[in-house]
Order: sequence, then C-alpha cells, then structure tokens
Amino acid sequence: MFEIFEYEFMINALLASILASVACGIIGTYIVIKRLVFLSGGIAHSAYGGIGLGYLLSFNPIFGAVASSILGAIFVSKMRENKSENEDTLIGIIWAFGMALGVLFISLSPGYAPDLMSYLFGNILTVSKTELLLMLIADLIIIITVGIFYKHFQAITFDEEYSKTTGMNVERLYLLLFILIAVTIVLLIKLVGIILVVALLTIPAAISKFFAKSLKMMMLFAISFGLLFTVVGLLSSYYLNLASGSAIIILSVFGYFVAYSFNLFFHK
Amino acid sequence: MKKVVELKNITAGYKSSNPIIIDVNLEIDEREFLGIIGPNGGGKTTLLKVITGLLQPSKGEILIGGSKLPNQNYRIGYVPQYSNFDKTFPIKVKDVVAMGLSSKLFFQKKINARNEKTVRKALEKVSLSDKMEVQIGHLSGGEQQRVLIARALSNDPQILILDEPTASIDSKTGSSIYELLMELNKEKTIILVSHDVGAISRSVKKIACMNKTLVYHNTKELTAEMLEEAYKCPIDLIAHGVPHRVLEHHH
Repeated sequence: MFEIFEYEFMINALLASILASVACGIIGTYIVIKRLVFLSGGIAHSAYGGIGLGYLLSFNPIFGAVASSILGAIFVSKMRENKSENEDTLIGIIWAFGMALGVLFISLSPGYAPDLMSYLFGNILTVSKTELLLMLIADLIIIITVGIFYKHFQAITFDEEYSKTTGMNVERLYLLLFILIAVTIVLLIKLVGIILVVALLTIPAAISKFFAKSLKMMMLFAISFGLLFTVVGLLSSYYLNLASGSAIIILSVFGYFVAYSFNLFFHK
Repeated sequence: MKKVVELKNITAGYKSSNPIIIDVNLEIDEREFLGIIGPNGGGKTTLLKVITGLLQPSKGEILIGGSKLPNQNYRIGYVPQYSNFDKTFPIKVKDVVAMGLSSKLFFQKKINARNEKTVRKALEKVSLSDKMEVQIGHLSGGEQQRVLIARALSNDPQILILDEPTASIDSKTGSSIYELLMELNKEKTIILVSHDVGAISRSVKKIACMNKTLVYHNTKELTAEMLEEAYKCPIDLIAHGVPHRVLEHHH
C-alpha cells in the first residue's frame, strides 16, 4: 500500500500538491470573491513573453516569466485605475500578445527549440527540487503578505469605494494583490500546468464560499479542499493508472457539484 | 451657525469633456439635515463623491469644516448605495463595521478590546449589536443598510453622507431608517440623496434639487418651480403621480 512513497517523483508530486493547495487556497479566495479569473488568466499568459525572452537571451526563463507577469499586473492595475470600459477586451489583448511574443522569441532562439508545452501544461509528476523550493518561497511570501494586509485586502475586495473614503491607497493595494496573483500563477504553471492552476484556484475556493463566514475561514477551507482533491486525485491516478492532472480536476469538479447540490438543498 | 461644508463653483465629472455637475454652490450648516433629490443621472451621486473626496472636481473649491480635504478634524461617514456590494461575500457584520475605523488600525492582528467596543457601540446605535457574528448576507435588506450606517458611524464622524439609503427596501423599513437618521441628526450633520421625494420631505430640514446644477433655496419648501427646474419636466410626471403630497405638507 505504501510502496508509493518509495518513488521520489511521487513524494515530490505530493509535496507539490501541498504547496500548490496552500497558494491556491489563499489567492483563489480573492480571485473567486472578486471574479478575477479572466484577469488572472491574462496576467498569467503575459508571462510567456518573458519565458520566450529568457530562451532567446539565454537566461533562466522563470525570471523572465515572473518579470513579465509583474509587468502584466502593473498594466492591469493601471487599466482599472483609469476605469477602462473595455477592461476584458484589454485583458484578451495582453493574453494573446504575451503568448505571441513568447512563441516568436522562441522561434528566433538559435539551436534546440525548447519545450514550450511544458510551460503551458506542466506536469505534477516531473516536478524538480528547485521548483519545489521556489514554490515554498512563494507560499511563504503569500502567507506573510496576506497576514500583514489581511484587513486591507478584505476592505478593498468588499467595498473598494468605501475604502477610498477611509484614506486607504486602494490602487497600490490592488497592485500588490495582482502581483501576488501573477507570481503565484506563473510558478504554479511550471509546477502543475495552467489547466490545473485554473482548477485549483477556482474550485476549492468556490466550494468554500458556500460555507465560509469569513475570508479566513474560506481560505482554510479552500486549502483543505485543495489538499483533499490533489492527494486523492494523485493516489487514484497512481493506482488506477490515470493521467494525474485530469484525475485531480475531474475529482474537484465532482466535489463542486456535490457541494453545490448540498448547498441548494440544505442551506437555502 | 458654523458652516461644515462649502462648495464653491464646483464642476466635476469622469471625463473633463463631459462634466456631470456644473457650477454647484452649496453651504451646509452644522447639524443640518439636507435632502438632495433629482432625476437619475442628474449628478446626485457625483456630488456626494466630490464631498467625500472620492472625486476630484475639475473646477471650484471645496471646504470641509473651513479647510480643504482631507481635514483630519472633520470626519465624514459615507454610506454608499447598499446594492454596491456582493451579498454572498464571506464577512461578519462586526468586520464590515470595523472597516470604518482608521485603516492604520488594520495592521493589528485582532480587533482589540477598545475597537471591539467602538464597533459594538456603533451597532448599538442601529440596534444590531446582537448580530455582530452573523454573516452580512444573512441579514435582511434593511438590516444590511443599517450595518452600512453603523460602519460610517464607527469613526464617530461629524458629517454623515448617505446615497439612496432606502432604495430597494420596503417603505416600512425605510421609515425606520429615516427615524434613525433624525435621531442621529441631533449630533451630526446629515446629507442624504434620494429619489424618494415623499419620504425625504418628511424627515429633512432642507431640500435641494440636483440636475446638472443645484437648485437650492435654503428652505425646506419644495416649490413647483424648483422641481420643474430640476427635472425639466412638468411636476405631475414625477414621483409616480403623487407630487401633491409633497407640496401639501408645506401649505
């Protein structure tokens, strides 16, 4: 039964699941309550420009990814400040532009064409020690930042305009939140792939929203649900010989419908 | 009497080419209860945003308690339209009210005893101190509105500004809100925006009409001319066919 822990890749995958669940539970809570899924996707994909540039100029693509996703976050936050009426159009534009730049830069890079697909889809079973360490650092940054600014983030996500009247620098705080979202997604994509990131950011937090009375509670529930889905998904993919990412996602979606129906019948 | 709010030739809007309010002049005395009515899109909310400092006017001057914004000695409690927030947001009543406290206190891990007391006192004023731990979405519309009033009160403001406090709640709950405001008016200056001409005229001390500019006669008297000037249409078309109730009140 426990021979599974003799494989290093399996242990790494489990560690990745834990680290990803923590980051997604916290950041996903903000994304779900502020309906920022599309915006987060836009910021995340602007990262591919930086990845491509990394290959072209031969520096570690992950730094390019982080830098360009932060640029994306700044762009999005400026856009919100100016109250652009076509916000989602602009998000669509940076989404496409980032990916196009990435592909262009990579096609211009000399020699061996690197595997962009792994940056698009990732694979939780091929996670390296370095990536785990990066993710651990990101988790710590997220926990500390959210710990310090918990009440500020609560105020701006609940009532942006009122927060302005109390003298809070709402735009600066949103920029901070967007940068956290951007860095989380970029690191997680390398870890588990974009599809699984979207699933882990939205589904556990959405389930928790049915039951949580406070943001803190929602985050803790979301982390727990994330852990449950990833660990059970991984184990079942191992024993039933399924694709691990798909197993986790399908389990999560199933979990969402159970919670949704439960809420429908017992809470309302 | 002391002037707490002075607006001088204020022009403001979201695009400089298209100002929403033009050349507004307004003086509000201490412990005034001013009701501002006017058609949708007439600039009522924009005017409130200028007074609360949310919107920088493109022209004109605004003085709160005799000096420019932000004036630390004059706190403004703002009650936005309550439909603006997400009713499913996971947040407890006491945490909503605590948002009204100075954001400098936010770095403290827990609401400390003194702040907790401030929050409780603010909720007592709106008779909701037993709902501190309840999630905001589980309250009725009228109760949610009162929580937003408590949030504005938690900072002990001298001026209370409300945007459509009785929109989307039933008229009985609405009149209980007006009663609460009249009680608060004993200590505070209140500025209130509403399209509910009938309800507003029973509680406020002065009334003004807002449509691009402010028609303000420094009385509670709401004349047919004022309404006509503000709404740019014959008065029997407004207030859903019951304008006479408003006028009769002053005969």
